[in-house]
Amino acid sequence: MSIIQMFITIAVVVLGTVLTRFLPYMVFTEGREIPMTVKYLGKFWRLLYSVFWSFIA
Amino acid sequence: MKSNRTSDGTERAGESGRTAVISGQDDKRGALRAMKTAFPKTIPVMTGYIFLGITYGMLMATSGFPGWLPALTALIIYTGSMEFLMVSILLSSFNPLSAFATAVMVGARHLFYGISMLGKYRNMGWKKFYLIYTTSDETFSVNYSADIPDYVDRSWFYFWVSLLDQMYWVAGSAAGGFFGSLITINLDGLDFVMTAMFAVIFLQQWMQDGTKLRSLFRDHICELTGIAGSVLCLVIFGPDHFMIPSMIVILAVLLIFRKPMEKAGYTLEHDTSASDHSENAEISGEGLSNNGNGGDDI
Repeated sequence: MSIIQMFITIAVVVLGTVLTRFLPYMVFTEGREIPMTVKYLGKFWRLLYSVFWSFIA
Repeated sequence: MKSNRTSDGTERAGESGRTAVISGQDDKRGALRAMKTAFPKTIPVMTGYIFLGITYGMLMATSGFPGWLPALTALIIYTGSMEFLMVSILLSSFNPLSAFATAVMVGARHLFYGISMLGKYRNMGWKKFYLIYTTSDETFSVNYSADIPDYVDRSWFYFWVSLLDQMYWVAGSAAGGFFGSLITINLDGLDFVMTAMFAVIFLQQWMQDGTKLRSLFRDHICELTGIAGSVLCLVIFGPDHFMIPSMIVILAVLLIFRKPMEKAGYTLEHDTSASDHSENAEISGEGLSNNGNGGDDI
């Protein structure tokens, strides 16, 4: 892999990770009300993530 | 000193030059105070990130990449698991589409973190972009579970946790990349500090949701769902592939059993048409609670 190809690869990986990070905020912009189901999932997700990560980490 | 900031964190139009100066000083003091509050909460992450970062930097360096590359990827990708995969991706033939698909799959968990942080990261001004960009497993854990005192500016607190965590990771990766060959200490097992951190946060949640044996299932239905879903998928998919299936299973269970859970006492307390402050509180999760236990933020 050449240096240019290496940087293109890094760039697309950055794009992929940034997309996953920003997508929820792009869908639910500040002016838009967050649906109750999404709030519900967001709420309970916080109760679950530490269980989950205790397994993974 | 009286603050000159509005409830959404933006500066009010200056009433006089003196007020503006005082406001600027307040902002600096607020930022400093937030850093003092945030730093101790990032110490477990610091320990884990620095040593894990060194491991990553060493791996990159010993794979033939320049010493600065781990620091650069740590800064701009900032997803540990993806960066470790980058070593093999960069060593294989050029395939940007596959690299992109891998990044999306590995980063899929950020979608769930984003949903949880939607409310907390509202009205963060210029800091919001950076907060979203630097969401990681550990930063999310600290920021979501942090009990931030009233006198500390929440946006600065989140900012410092995010910045410090990222700096730990970049510093560790840079050290591993540049000086990895000089390190002869065995670092195996030191990253366990992060597992310990997640376990402690879990125990805090468990204790807060109730400690009575007779109401075990009612109080801890969420935690038990998480454990059951994770174990089930661990057995079915194995340790390398159970993460995304577990998330999907857990979310599916939560959606299917939403009504029974609400009947059991887990409800949304406030109406969405509440005032600005209470709306933010509700959206950020503070208005949601197990009725049997009152407020449930850690």
